Amino acid sequence: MAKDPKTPPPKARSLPRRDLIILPLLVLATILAVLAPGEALVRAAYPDAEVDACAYNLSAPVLHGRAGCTSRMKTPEGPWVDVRYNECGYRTEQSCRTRPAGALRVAVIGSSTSAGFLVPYPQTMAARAAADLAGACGRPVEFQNLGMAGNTGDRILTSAREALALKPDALVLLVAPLDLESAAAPIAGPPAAAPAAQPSLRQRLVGTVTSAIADSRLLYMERYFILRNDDVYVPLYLNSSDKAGFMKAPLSPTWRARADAFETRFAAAAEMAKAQGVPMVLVFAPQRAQMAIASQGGYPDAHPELLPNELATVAESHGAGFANPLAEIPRDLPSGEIFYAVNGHLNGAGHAYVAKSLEKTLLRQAPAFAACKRP
Amino acid sequence: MEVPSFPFLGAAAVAALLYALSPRRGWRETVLLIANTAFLLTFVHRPLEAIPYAAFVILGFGLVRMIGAGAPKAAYVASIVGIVAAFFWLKRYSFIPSALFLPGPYLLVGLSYVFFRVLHLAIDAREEPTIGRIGPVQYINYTLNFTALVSGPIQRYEDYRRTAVEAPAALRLAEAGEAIERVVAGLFKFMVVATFISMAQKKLAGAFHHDTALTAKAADAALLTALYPIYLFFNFSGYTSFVIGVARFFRIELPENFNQPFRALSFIEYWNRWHMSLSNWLKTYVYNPLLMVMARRVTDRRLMPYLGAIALFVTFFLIGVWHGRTSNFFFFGILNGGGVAVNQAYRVWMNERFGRKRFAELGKRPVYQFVTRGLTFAWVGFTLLWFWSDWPELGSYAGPLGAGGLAVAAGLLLAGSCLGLGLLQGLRVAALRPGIAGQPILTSRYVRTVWVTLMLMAVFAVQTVMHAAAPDVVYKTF
Repeated sequence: MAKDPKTPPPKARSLPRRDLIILPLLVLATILAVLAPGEALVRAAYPDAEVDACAYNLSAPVLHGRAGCTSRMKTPEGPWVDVRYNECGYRTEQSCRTRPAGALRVAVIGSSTSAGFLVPYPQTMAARAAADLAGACGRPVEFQNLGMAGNTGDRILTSAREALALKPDALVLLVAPLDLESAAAPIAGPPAAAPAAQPSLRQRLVGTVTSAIADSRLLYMERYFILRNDDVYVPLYLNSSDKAGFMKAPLSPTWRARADAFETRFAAAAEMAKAQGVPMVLVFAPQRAQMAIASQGGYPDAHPELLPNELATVAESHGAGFANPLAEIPRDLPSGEIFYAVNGHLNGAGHAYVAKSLEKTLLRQAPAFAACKRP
Repeated sequence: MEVPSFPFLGAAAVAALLYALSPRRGWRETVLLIANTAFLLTFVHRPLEAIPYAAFVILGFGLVRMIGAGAPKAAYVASIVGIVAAFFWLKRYSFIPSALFLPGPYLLVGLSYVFFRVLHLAIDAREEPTIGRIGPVQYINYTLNFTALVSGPIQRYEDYRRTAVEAPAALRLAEAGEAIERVVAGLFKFMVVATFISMAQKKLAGAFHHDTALTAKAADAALLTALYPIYLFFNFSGYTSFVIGVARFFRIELPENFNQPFRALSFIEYWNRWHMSLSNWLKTYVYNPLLMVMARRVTDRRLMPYLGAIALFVTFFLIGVWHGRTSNFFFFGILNGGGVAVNQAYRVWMNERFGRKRFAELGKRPVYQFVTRGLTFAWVGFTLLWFWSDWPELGSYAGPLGAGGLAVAAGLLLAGSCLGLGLLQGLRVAALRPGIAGQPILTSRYVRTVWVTLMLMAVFAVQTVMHAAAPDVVYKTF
């Protein structure tokens, strides 16, 4: 048989000493040369403006936008959103002072999801439901949206009192699992002045680098591409300490305490509504992993219906209606289609499911909507 | 465990660290033995599934040792036939009655490549004492070498023994850097380039069925035909580069499988540059013996040059048939065998007609190279139609095209191949021209370091963005 000629083993080659410095520097320089313009390009193409310029007095008993104020907001993964507040500081196009003749009025309270955070106004749950119900009822329907990021905990009660002063035909409270997490927390006051300590150069340097990395838009994009995949995101979320505890049966003591704290406040709000003869509806805003599991299955130890069922019982026991958008979401829908993958809030498409669920409950349970056509 | 993949890389890194803990041969062979066995076991779902595979490996060892101990010629021949038969039987070749096959699924990963190694050992054990006396640990480490198990390359035992056992290849910073470069280049080819070409192919296939104009359909068909060899190259050479790099950390120098195959100026040259470890194996164990046998029997000297064409036909027909058990692979074998045989006959005829010198001069002319390079690539793309497709699918392309459309597609394929490869060759020459101290700047370690960093960043970026895994190694199924 023909054999390949044997070749001696190659001799070891050594690198010049200077290469031990030059080559790693070249690697670093290449990375920087790609990342720096990449970061600039991505920042230009996907701006981030998630702070509402109209928000003010964050330690107030209830949060509103500045009256008559307009701000522009954007998450890198979503569109530009114009946020306009009416003369009462509510995210509503209609006036809060006057009510058109024959119009039905719904007051919405809650936090960021209620407010349609990062969602263009026509796509928000409130605007969609107002338009659909107006069509079904054949008369104007307006939603005064008192929702604002941070209106959780005791602010629910203050919000409810203010909403009921608008003499609505229905009071809607939208609540997300994240709202329950902060329900037990006291309202944050202005931060106490800390003793001024001059950070060292090293601390400042580390701080600058850390915040630059945290603010990196390229990393944001990377997170987006990783997290939009439910196969990656859902297990990550389920393993994130107690955050996903609302899907584990039985509820952990922490989540039990959160649910109880919420019920106390909800009961008080429902009592106020009942006293004024205003029907109240509790709307559950699902969390993204919860929605993904409900729609796609695959996680037998996770129970996405656990918290909505708990809240349905709370609503029923206090004479309120309950809307569960999870029931509206089709099977096998990737959660990235109705949620912002990194930000975590429902996007415009997600608000459509919330609106649909709310409309059904209002038509079924609110007397003012009894005469309207059911879809 | 998928290869190439980051989990594989991580596991290999751990094994390489353990391997490097001690230079003692026993330690290193033990580490390799554990790594090889553990890697194979990652493909086993139930213990029973591994029994046929294990039996084949053990049978091979027994026969190699028997031959090495001086078994008579009849036993030697029977052993070779037995190994081949056992392989065909385990791989369920269609010419064997299906009633004889083992029921249920069982482990087959990389069996073809194990077969080539075992057969090489069995054939050479008779003449080569180091092979005939191979120990069980070395036998397992060679035949089941985890870096080359899934899809090769097929290494000769002497080469394996030289680098892995007798004189381990050096691994200082320069060599480690080059090994990392191979790993990164492999990942880039496999996970980035091949993935995008695969996506483009799928889009083109969709476009072909949507386009209504015949010329658009013909252009789609030509491009589809041209894309597959490029995809296959990046897929398989990416895998090969990756495993060659990984193996270097175990001091093993795996053979190269590719040498710029699309620069080939003839189909024979193409096969000298493509899947080289397989074609070299077949040349050693099929082509050369067959040619010798025929040369002994044919006495007419005028026929002697054409014997090579016949031997080439048989060799490359077998390469085609090895890829699969259906009629399209049979036809793929005929096209491959026919291609090299016609190529060889053309060489013989041109040498006789014009003389060696003039033919060699003709081969150096740029226009001749421009055409033959394109023709070779176009033929490769054409033969591979029966590799990635089957008769019904080919019919779904040929039917709407008709004879006219097929002719236009063939013309476009040939013209595009000539122009595209000519342009690439021109660019390559121009890019390699600037140099310092006789070395092209592009091949300096500084430029290569930059390039490797960019490739690695591209791999991470694509891995982050893409949800689906890169297409599997095509040759894993054979």
